[in-house]
Amino acid sequence: MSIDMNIKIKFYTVLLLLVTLSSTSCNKYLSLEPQDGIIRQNFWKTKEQLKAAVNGCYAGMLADPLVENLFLWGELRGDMLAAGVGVRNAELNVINVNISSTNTIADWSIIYKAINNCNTVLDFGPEVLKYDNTLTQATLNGYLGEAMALRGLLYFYLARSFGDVPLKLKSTSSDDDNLEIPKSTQQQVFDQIIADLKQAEQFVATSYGNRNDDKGRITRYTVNAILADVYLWLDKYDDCVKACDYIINSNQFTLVPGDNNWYSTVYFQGNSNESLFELQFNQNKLNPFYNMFINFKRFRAALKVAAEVYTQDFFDITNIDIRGNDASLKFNDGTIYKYQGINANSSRTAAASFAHWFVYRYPDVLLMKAEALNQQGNGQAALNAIEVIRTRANALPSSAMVVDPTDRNGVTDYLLAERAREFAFEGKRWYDLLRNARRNNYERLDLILNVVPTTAADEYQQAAIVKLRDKRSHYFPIFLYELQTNKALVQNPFYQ
Amino acid sequence: MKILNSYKWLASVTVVVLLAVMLSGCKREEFTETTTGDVNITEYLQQDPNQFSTLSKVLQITGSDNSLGGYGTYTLFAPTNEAFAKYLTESGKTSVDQLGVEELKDLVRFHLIRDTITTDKFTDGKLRTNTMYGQSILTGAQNINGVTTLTINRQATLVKGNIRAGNGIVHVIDRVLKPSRLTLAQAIEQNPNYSIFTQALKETGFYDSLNVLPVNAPDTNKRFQTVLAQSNAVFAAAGYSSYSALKSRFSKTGDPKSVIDSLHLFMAYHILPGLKYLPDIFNASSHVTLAPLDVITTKLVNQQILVNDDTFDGKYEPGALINRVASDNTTANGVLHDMAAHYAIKVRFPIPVYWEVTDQPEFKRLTGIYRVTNKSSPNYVTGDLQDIKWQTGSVSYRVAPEARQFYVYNNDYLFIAALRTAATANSFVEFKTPLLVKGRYKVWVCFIRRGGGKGVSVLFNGEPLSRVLNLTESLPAQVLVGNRWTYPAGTSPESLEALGKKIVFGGPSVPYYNNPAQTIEYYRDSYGLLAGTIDVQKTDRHNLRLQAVADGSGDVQIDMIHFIPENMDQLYPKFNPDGSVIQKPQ
Repeated sequence: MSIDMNIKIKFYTVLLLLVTLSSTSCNKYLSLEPQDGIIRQNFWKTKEQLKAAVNGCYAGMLADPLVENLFLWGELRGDMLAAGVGVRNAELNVINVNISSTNTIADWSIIYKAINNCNTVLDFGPEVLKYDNTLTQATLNGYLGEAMALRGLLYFYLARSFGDVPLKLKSTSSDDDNLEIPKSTQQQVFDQIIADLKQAEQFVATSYGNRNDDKGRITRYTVNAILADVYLWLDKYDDCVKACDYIINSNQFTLVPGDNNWYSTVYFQGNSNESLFELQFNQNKLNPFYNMFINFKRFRAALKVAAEVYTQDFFDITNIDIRGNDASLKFNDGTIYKYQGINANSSRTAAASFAHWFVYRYPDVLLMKAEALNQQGNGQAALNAIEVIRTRANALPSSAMVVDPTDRNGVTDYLLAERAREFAFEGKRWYDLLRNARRNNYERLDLILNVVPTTAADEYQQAAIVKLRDKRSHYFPIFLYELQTNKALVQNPFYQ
Repeated sequence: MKILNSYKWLASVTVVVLLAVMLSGCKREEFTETTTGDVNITEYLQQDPNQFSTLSKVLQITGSDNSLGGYGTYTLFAPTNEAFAKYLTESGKTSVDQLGVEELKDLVRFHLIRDTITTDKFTDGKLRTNTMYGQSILTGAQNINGVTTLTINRQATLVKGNIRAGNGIVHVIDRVLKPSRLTLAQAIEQNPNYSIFTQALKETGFYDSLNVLPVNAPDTNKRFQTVLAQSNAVFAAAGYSSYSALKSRFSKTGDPKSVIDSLHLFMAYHILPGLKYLPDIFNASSHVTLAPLDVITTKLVNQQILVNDDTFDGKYEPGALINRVASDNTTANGVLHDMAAHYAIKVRFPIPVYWEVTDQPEFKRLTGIYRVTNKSSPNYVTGDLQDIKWQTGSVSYRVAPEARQFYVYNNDYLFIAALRTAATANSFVEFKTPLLVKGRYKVWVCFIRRGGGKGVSVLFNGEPLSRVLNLTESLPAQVLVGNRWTYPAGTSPESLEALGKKIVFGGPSVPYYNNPAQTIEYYRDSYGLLAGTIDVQKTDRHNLRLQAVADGSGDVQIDMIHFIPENMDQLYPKFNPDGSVIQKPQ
């Protein structure tokens, strides 16, 4: 009996315990703070935390697939890339100008994630001033400027790729935030970009005292380079020249001499004298290129890159454009080599695939200025700049063009050809073509139309050309998932 | 005790119930009870009567609504109500009820494909699957005032594409699609610009064969044909201002209906069996015609489609352009294309083809490697090269190093890693030959003697040639006479030919690689072997296959393959490493 009793008592105790526990599970008096993380109210207290948050913005730029997106958006619709054996369907559809809203290439979410990192710093960074007396206003401004410039750069990519995009300028930090934001026009986005960059220019430093930070963080020179690019896109040539001149006259940058060490200095080691801003992949965060080009062979260089872009000296095969064979690509099998090489003969292993992503290099500044000057009627200055770039790279006579300085379109063609050689596979080709094509109410639409016969599959070419005549097709559709989750978005007109 | 027990029992029940209520009381969860919320095509159309009430009605009348409401994989081109309104006005009716059920059934069949085709599969030509009516639908794009729309069958434009229903895909279009009812013969006759061509069709008797609807075709394999028609303007530009001018030039027998009459052959040469839209035409390099032994070759050059654009016997012959805009016209029994230039059968006599096997488009683009000393291409896998196929393993392009010459033409050769019968190794290599004119040829395989290819059978279009080649044997060693390495005693070019062997290089001044002061005209490890005689039935590019019939490790290195008409000299010309060609001394 007593044993029986005992069991019963135990039974009821357990039952009672269960009832107590279960009845409390609905109530909210327990702490809501996570035990394995830090919450906003406890963060944003010291300048170290602020610095960590800004570093987080740069780390966010390395997150996959952000750089992969930048590469695909800049090169897929250009004429320098050819599909490899591992190419994906979505990529082929872009090459064939057969893009629909289900195409994953148009997924912009990683960009907005990076933008949100910047927004968070901009929203909560100023609070730190209240708690940390050692933080000066100038230091704070520097951090805010970096975040603004990064945000401006990211929106610049979005506006050039999609046209109109939602302009999200506040961080997403609580459930009450409205995530359903409609699109702003491309012009509004550009206005915001310029506002951000101009403010950032006031705020950020010209140097952080060491080379890796100077090339890996936003400096005033970087801001001016982005500004020059934006102004060039908006046909504001005076402003573009002014921004370029700021960088040129600083005498902080030179072209790395085109000797035997050039490739290894600029591309393998990175952060060279001619670099303005590079995304710093490292041993802990590898770039996506080994997988893209070597492992899965998704892309290789288009056939014309060796034969027509860099050309070859048939009388002296040792006389080469240093940017061509064994630098941008391997001539024998078309492998894209820019991110793989240590030098001409040895290449990186999968585990060492952390070549940087080159956002702006000094030659870009020189050629952007040249493009602006050419549009202003100073073709000779543009040709001179091209010559500087060509001399450094030992460009071959067979790739030279004889252009009359007054022939604005001819100089444009030469500039584009030189940019193709200088920035091969650096994610710039499509934007270069589009920027020049759309100038003066699409005066040079031919630049874009000429791409398709060299890239699209035979049976898609006719339709592709007709589609590209519609300038709305030059921008990507909004990815279907975004449309489903954000009811305020309207699909871009070409894809409706 | 009993009461106590029942109390206890009651208490525990109460507790358990309470527990259950508490546990479940937090939140009411809603579960989806169906696997998908997608509606099928029929319901999708019914849900949107503002756009599709007419189409729904048509489906109901024809009884198609049941199948489109059930399981399946369909693509439906759905005309809107406005589209039907226009269609009815054109046919003078006010309601779809006034159309016959059979007509409506045909209409539905022409808008329905038993396949799921999204817009990213729309090409410049026909869709991959035919409609259930039998005719295929053409897609394309048009640009009006800077706005691009996709066109469907050149009759409608796409309003909204890729609507996914449970059993397929709906594409909304703004016009009702109409299948073509004219035959090829009628379509050509209807166009006054084709009057010469039409008369020629009638006089040669092809008019009647092109006027047969698919359902009436006696042979189901010959239901569809493709015509490359020439307009009067094209004939005039070629010097034939009337049918009589054409007839007097071509008709040698005076009876155009005769199958050996040249006018009959001329017309036959403009008709291709089968349904061939432009992408089908330029995606294959040659097409048989109704002219029994003659093919046309086709290619796409800078968006232009050319017929018979060939390099023949070292001479370039410009091709005739197809008028792309006016082509791809679907008719009830085939496709009609419009030629922008005149073309005719070329009378050709067999000429020798000394084929440098490395003359491949992929190799020529190897800047810095192609014909550059001591270079080699990456290893290709099968599928990388358009005109060479093999079973497995690698094939590459190589140029001999300066220090080790093989005396092969242009110093380059095709490197095949293996050619043997072992189960996991590569057992064949198949080439697409250059254009061969119909006639009889001797085939010589010229190679560098290596370890592989102990027994190789050569097949021409699948037919084995008479001899099995052994590519691993050396000839008797060369001897030095004065400053010249030459044939050993008892061996001469003629005696070798009698054995089916020949030296491919020659002439007075080929330097000996070990000692440039000496010359060479015979080398034991690089020569040609006669594989046999082939009978080329029609002028075309053909398949030549090297099939391993014996095992043995080692690679195979091919220099050239010669196709020499059997009554011609088989030993000359000679092909030298520096690219020079030595003709037979007079």
